[in-house]
Amino acid sequence: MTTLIAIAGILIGVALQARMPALSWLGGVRVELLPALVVYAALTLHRRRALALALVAGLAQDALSAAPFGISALAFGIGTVVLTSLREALDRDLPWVQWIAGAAISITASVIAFFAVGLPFGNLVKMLVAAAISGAVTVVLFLAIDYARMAWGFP
Amino acid sequence: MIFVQLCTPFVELGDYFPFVQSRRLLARQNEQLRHDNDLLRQEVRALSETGRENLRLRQLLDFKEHSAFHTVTARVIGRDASNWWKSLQIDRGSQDGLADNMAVLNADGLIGKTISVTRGQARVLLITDRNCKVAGLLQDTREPGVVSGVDTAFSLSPRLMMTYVNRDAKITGGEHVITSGLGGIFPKGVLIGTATRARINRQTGMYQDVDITPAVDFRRLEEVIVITGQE
Repeated sequence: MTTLIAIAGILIGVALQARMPALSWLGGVRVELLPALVVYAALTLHRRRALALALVAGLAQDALSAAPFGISALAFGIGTVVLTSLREALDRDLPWVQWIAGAAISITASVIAFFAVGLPFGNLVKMLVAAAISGAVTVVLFLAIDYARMAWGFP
Repeated sequence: MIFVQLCTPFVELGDYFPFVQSRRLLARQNEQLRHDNDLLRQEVRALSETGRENLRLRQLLDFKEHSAFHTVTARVIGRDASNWWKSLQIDRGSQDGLADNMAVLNADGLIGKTISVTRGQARVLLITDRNCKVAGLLQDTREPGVVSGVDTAFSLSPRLMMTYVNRDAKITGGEHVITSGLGGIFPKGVLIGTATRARINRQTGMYQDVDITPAVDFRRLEEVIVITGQE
């Protein structure tokens, strides 16, 4: 059930991500919702399940992008493996841990895009802004899902 | 007589009853008018939106009538889900005659080319993406070059740059850049943008790079034209 809800969340997240306008006052940076979902799965679910969800999220994002198919799945997969390995050392309830985890997943995706596809390893400001936004979205998502779980009694 | 004097104030007070009644009536009327006003405002908003859409479609239709190409009009239904690629999703696909590598434009100028065409939808790679290369031509000086998107380290917004331009060319700001027709994807003469600045390429010194302001506002795209063939 939790996995089905998570998959539904990913599909809704990727659709929203592709529909929402970019933040023109921030130079056209797009708010990314999927890194937040990936972090939530990595810090909450079993490793195998979290990894499967990360791959679904990555492939869904690539399907709605001009990116080479699988590149986001690779980034989210690597991020999930690292986060699940560090899970014992991380307190998932601390907002700054959530923020850093969200930003780290976003930066991983950017760096892999830079190296794998040959995007210029410039664009530093955009990468940092996107990571900061992803971190903030992660904190909000944790708050919302944890509240919903408490309120509706999800496992 | 005393009775009349006693009753007079009440008679005068009676004059106020129609007023009280009319106040209730007015309140009801006011509420009804507010409701009508809300409805009319919504209608005006909807009509204004329809009017604007009509204007945009008229511009596209005007372009279609004057162009020598077979074209398909499409609506933009999505943007790129990622921050590192620049593309759009449109609501036309192979069943409408679309295929990969078809030029996409609107009345303002060139937008990009189709990639990943499915039966009912297609993805358009924007010219601001660095993977989309367009053979361009400076309209006045007739100098050719290659136009593509550029991402710079300390800038958030994408820019267009024309590279491989003859280093001896005298390029002035404000000159239009159009497609040259070379390469076979983009037809000749479509406006790409306006040259803003030219400088010698720093790495090789063998040619000039020209900064270009795109003719199209990529944030506000709603309808586009896909060129499917020549008449």
